[in-house]
This record gives sequence, C-alpha cells and structure tokens, in this order.
Amino acid sequence: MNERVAKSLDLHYRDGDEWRPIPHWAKFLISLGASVASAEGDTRRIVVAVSVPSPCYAASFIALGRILAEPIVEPDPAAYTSHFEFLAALPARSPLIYFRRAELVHGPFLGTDSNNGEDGIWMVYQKPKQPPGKCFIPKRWSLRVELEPDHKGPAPRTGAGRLRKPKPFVERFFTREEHYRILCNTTKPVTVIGDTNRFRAETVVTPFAVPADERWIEGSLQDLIRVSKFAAGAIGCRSEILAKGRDPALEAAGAHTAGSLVILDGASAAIRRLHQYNNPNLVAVLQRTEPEYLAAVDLLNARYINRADDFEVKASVSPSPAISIMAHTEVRS
Amino acid sequence: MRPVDFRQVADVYECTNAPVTRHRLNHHAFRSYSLSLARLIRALGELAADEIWRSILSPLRRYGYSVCSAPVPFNEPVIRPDLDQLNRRKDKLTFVYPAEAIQLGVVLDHLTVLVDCADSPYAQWLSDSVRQHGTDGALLLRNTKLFGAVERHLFKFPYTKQLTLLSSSQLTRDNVFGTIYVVGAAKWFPPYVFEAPRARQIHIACYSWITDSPQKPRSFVAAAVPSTELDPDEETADETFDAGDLLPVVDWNSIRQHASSPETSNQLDSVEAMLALLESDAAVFLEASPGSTVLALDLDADDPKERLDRIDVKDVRIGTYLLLRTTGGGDYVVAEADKHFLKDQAEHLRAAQRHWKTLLLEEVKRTSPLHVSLRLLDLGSSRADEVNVRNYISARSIRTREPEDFAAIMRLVGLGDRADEYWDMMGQIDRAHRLAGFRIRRQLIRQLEHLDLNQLERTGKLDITLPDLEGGALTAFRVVDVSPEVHTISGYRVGHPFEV
Repeated sequence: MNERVAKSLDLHYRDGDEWRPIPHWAKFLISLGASVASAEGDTRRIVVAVSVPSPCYAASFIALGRILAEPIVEPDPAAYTSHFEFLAALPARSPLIYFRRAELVHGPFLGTDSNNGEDGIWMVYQKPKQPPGKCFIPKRWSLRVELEPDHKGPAPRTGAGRLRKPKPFVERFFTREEHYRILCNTTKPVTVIGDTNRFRAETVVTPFAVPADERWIEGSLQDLIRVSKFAAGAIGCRSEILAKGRDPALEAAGAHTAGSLVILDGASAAIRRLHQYNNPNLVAVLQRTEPEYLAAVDLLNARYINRADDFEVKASVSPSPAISIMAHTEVRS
Repeated sequence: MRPVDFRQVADVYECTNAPVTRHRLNHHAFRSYSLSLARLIRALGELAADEIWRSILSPLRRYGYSVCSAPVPFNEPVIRPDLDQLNRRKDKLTFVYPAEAIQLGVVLDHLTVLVDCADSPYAQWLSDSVRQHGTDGALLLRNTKLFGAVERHLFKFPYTKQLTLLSSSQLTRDNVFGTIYVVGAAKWFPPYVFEAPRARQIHIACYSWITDSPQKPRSFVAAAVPSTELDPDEETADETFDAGDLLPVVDWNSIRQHASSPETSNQLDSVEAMLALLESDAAVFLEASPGSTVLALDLDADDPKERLDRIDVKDVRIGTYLLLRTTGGGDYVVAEADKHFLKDQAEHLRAAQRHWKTLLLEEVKRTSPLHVSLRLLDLGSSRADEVNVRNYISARSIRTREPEDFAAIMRLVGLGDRADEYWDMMGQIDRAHRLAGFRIRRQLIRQLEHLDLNQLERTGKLDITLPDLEGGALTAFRVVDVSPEVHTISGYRVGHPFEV
C-alpha cells in the first residue's frame, strides 16, 4: 500500500473531547479510492458503483484515497511557461519568494536570462545571518517562485500567497519537496459532482487529526485533497467540486482526461451526469435514502450489463458490511 | 454552514443490519371489520370502481387504514366515518344490489361496534415495548395526518409520551435512535427505513391478518455485499388482507375531474399540466411545458437563500417540497407588482394588457390559432406558432420576447401605429413583475430563517404568512405522488392547490 494512504488510515475524528480512530467504513472508502488510482489502464476505464447508508463523507474519503495514491508530477509546461512570462514582465527589484532546497527564501527579482540554453530568472535571496546569495531559477521551476503577496511596489497584486510552508498536518503525509510540487500542480485528478455545501462542511470544517509523539496534529481533509473551490487560486489544487445542478462548467465535462477520476456524489448526480463522462474513471456514490436511489441503481446495473469486463476492487481494507459495491470496466470512448 | 457531524454519520454506519423484530397484534372486532370489508370489495369486483360504490368504500377503507396505520383508539373522533350517511347510502342500494347491500350491512354493523370501542392495541403494544426497551425511541408513522391525534393519545400513557413522532422523510438525516417503533406494514414505508436504518433496533407491529410481503431489496446485480432483506411473513391458512390493498388508492381521474370546471373547455387558455398529489389531501396542477418552473424548498440547504429555489417542473418528484399560494385569488406576483411598483399606473397598464389580449383572442375565435399564427408570420413575426399564439392570449404572459413578434400582433389587432407605446407599457409591467418577484423572495427568505422546518419535514405541510404580502399566505407542501399522465387544463388552475 502507498505510504501516504497507509498514514491516512490512522486519521482520527473528534468525538466530544476525544480523538477516535476513523471507523472501518471510512478506511475502506479511502482504500477504494486508492485502488481505483492504482488500477488504471489506457484502453479501459473503471466504473464503480457504491451504495452507502448516509450521504456524508463517502465521496470525501474516496477522493482522499485517490489523491494520496496519486504520483505527484511536475507541472504542465503550459502552466510554468505562462507563469514565467508573468514573472519576466515584473519590474526589477520586485520582491519574490522562492522555494529553494526545502525552504522558502525571499529576495528581489533581478531579471531574466538564458543559462546553458535554458531560459530562467535571476533573483537575490537573503537567509538569516548569512550574506545575500544570487541564484538562477530555470523556467521549468518558475512555479516555485511567486511575487510577495503583500508587497508595496508597482508590480500587480496577486492576492493571497500560494507558496507557504506546509502545516504540520500536511507534513505527516508529504515531504517538503512533494508539498511544493503540489503547490505548483496544475492538474486536478479528481472531480466531485454533488452538493457543494456539504462537501465543504466535510472537507473544510470537520477537523481530523493524526497522532504524533503523544500529541495530536490537527488538520482537515482540504489540507490534503486541496479542492480548488475552497482555496485561493487554481494552481496548487488537486481536486474540484461541481454542483450537481446547473453548473455551466459541467458543459466541459467531456474534456476530462483518461487519468482523472470523477466521483458522482449521490443518486441524483449519477442520474443527471453519468452520461456526460465517458472517458475518466468513475465512482458513483449512491445513498440509499435518496428518492432517486432505485433509478440510479437501475442505471448502473444497465452499465454493468453492457460492461467490457468485471473489475475486481483490490482495496487494502476489507469491505464494510454497510457498503455494497459493483465494479466493471468499459472501453474508453 | 451546517456542520456535518462525523460522530452521527459513524452511528448511522453502525446501525447497518439493525435487527428488525415483527410483532403481530390481534383485535377481534377490528379483524371482523377488516375481513368483512375485504370480502365486500372482492365480491364487488369491478363495481368497486363505480362512483356510487367508491363513495361508500372510500370512507370505510380510510377508517380501516387509519386505525391500521396509527396508534389511535377505534373511537378516535378525527377518523370516525359518518355512519348515518353510510347507512342511508346502503339503503338506497338495497334494491339495485341486494346481495352486496347485505354484505355492506355486515361491514357497517362491525363498524358500529368499533366506533364506540376505546381499545387501542397499538398504543398498548407501544407502552409495553417502550417499558421493555427504554425511552430512547421514536415512533415512525406513515399517516402523517394523524400526528396530532396520535400525540394526544400517546400522551396519556407514561411510557409513550416521550416518544418522538417521525415521518419517513426524517429518516434520511443522520440522527440515530436507540429504537424505532414502526406501526403498520413494512411495505408502506420506503425501503431505506430498513436498508439504511437510523436505529440500533427496529420493532414493527401490524395486525395479524394483514399480510406484509416485504418489498424486493434494491441492489446492484453484482453487489459484493448483499443488501438487508426482511423476512417475509409466514404463510397462514387463515383469511388475510394484503397490506398493499389497505393503502389509500390514488384515483388520478377522480382528482382531475374534481378539479375540472366549465372553464376547462376553453381550449384557447388550456395548458398541458402534470398533477401532483400533496400532503394533507391536496393536489396541484403544474404547467408541464418545457422550461416551466415552480418554487420549491430544499430542506438540506443550510443557507436560507439556497433553501428557496425555482426548479424545473419535470424535476418535481415524491418528496419534493413545493411552495404554493393558498389564500387570495390570482397570482401574488401580479398583486405585488400592482401595489408596490406600478402603483397608480397599474389600472391603466393592466387595461392596456387586457385590451390587446382581448383583441387577439377575438381574432383567434373568429378564425383559429393556426390561421392567426400564419397571419402573424406574414406580418413579420418569426416565432408565431399555435402554441405561442395561445401563450400570447394567456393572462400569464406579458409580452413577446422579441419586439418584432409583438409588432406583428399589434398590426394584426389594429394597434400597429401604437406598437411602440404598447411595447413600452408591457415592458413596465414586465419589470414590475420581476421586482415583485425579488421582493417576495426576500420576504420568504427572511421568514425561512425563523420557521421550524422540522415541522414541515414531520407533517409534510407548513403555512407561511408573509406579513407584507397582500392576502399573502403560502403553504409548503411535500409531494406525495405525481400523476403518470399529463393533463390539459385551464391555465388559471395552474399552481393553485385544491382539496381532493
């Protein structure tokens, strides 16, 4: 099992004044999300139907498992090129932040140049009790640089800063290098379609903790799954939530890549949106209390009957008796 | 933002496979009544659907269903049928249906005994069960109309007065009870009551002669974990009554006819509408044309602004909460627009609106909608067709979307030289309607902050008074059923609930 996924199984939730281990069903859902990530193929996509007794937390935990199992890739060239062009246009001496060798350093922008045939920017950096240094940052690393968010100079204001030191909670799951790579991330491998408010309550408001040296390190699922709607800016996010109803962004649903996972959170989301996604892997979470549950079960059963093949969910945690699942593969369109 | 309590969700998962214990109750007089009624219905066969028999069978079935579905005594006044009227109806049938009338007489004899009987087997069972299993319990009823009577009755017993009364829709939340007591047949309740239980144990009581074959579990064709399945009743040689036959039958035709009136014959103002049955014996027609919307409440939304939403009529289904005007005639947006935005201009502008619509209607009556639509196309309209011509005539439309369509109408009815003036006047009405809509919405949102929506979820109906709205009472209703067919009705019937 992926080390980060294994660590997430040690999450605890708050029950009054105590922290308690997350229940078995939550661990299963995390491992289910992780198993879909590790089983992806090029020609076939995976469709998993999950039936749960409560609408809450199922999609969040599946998304968590998927994201923690996901390799952290280098940013997309188009994204760093665009960011490089923004930096290159800054006035000289604009104050910058740069993630350098697992720490953040600050200093003024000097200008752009080419070094060994590679474009990049020059900046001066200042470390405490050390003389100032000068460094060349290649263009492909430019997302590791940003303008100081609260600068007073003539350069455009960029809002809240993106490059921040990781919270202790995040450091339990990611190394600093991984963390900054995530902050430069431009792809969102997970899209959840469902109830935005509930998802926010689950991922942003609900506290979780991990044990460390006889103390608790507290955080939220948002610290790990980084939903763009609940964060400032689009870069550095790893998932998105779309309202199941009238979100115009859904019109671009066909653009999802083969590597991404779409989670349809709820029977009504499944009924309305299942037909829109024929390329990415898909998990439909159906809540047995929903009026449209039966119609959604019928829809998923019909997809199963027309399957390319069965898919065995190799979750590292045994299924919970409260959850029933059905999985198959389909040929990607 | 409403927090999502992880502990509660964890409790819900722990309730999976909660044991369901069935209890069979007996009552001699009620059994005699039920089975004699079942025999009569069987003997009548297709005759049971005739209006004359339906008017007799409906109150008899309703009484039987009421005492089967709620812990009230047999002599509860709220459910008491009009025995004198039933006997008079029986007497009238004696000559036409002598054999059936004799059977009906037997039923009425049993009923006469029952309506004077203070027994309440369910209440007794509940009292004994709560004493045994503890007071952390809730009572689930299908018949939400009897909540008041049930509360009054259960309050008399020391063990049952603390029971929380629930409707099925409340069991979609993540609140978990120690024990849920269910009164009536399992098949009367949504499957999730048993497939996603909100209790650590469920006790269900039903009369012994009522057969209750559980609903087929709903599951995936290749599920890794099987769904919960309720055991069927043991087969018995005794005479029985199927639980499904006890449920009140939704007679859509009767409801539609009940709502029909001479105006329905006015083909020009007719609309296609779906019929929704509402909680508390009400129904409403909702316009079914594409793009038609209705005001609805989303009880899951935590922000009052998001609770109120216009949804497509095609998305209305069982369990949807609709917000409908229940007092005052006509459209409340019209009344608000006239009072607050058009003010002293209202009379003049409304007269102008009526004037061109009357002229157009006369033109249609003189020829036909098709002929008028063709004339309008000749006169420069690009969207005139039969459906749109009916919309133009309707009092619910103000003006056309595009000025050239409106100008064509004006030319047709002889107001061509005043087309711009009329377009502007209708524009004023249109703006006033929008502003009135916003004003009402703001008031509703303010009210929703203070209303007890649990009450709505429990009983399926909640009156909402808007103090600033002229004659403004709205009622939120839960949709109980939706007609499978689309009906053609008079436009003025749309959106106005009526009793069934």
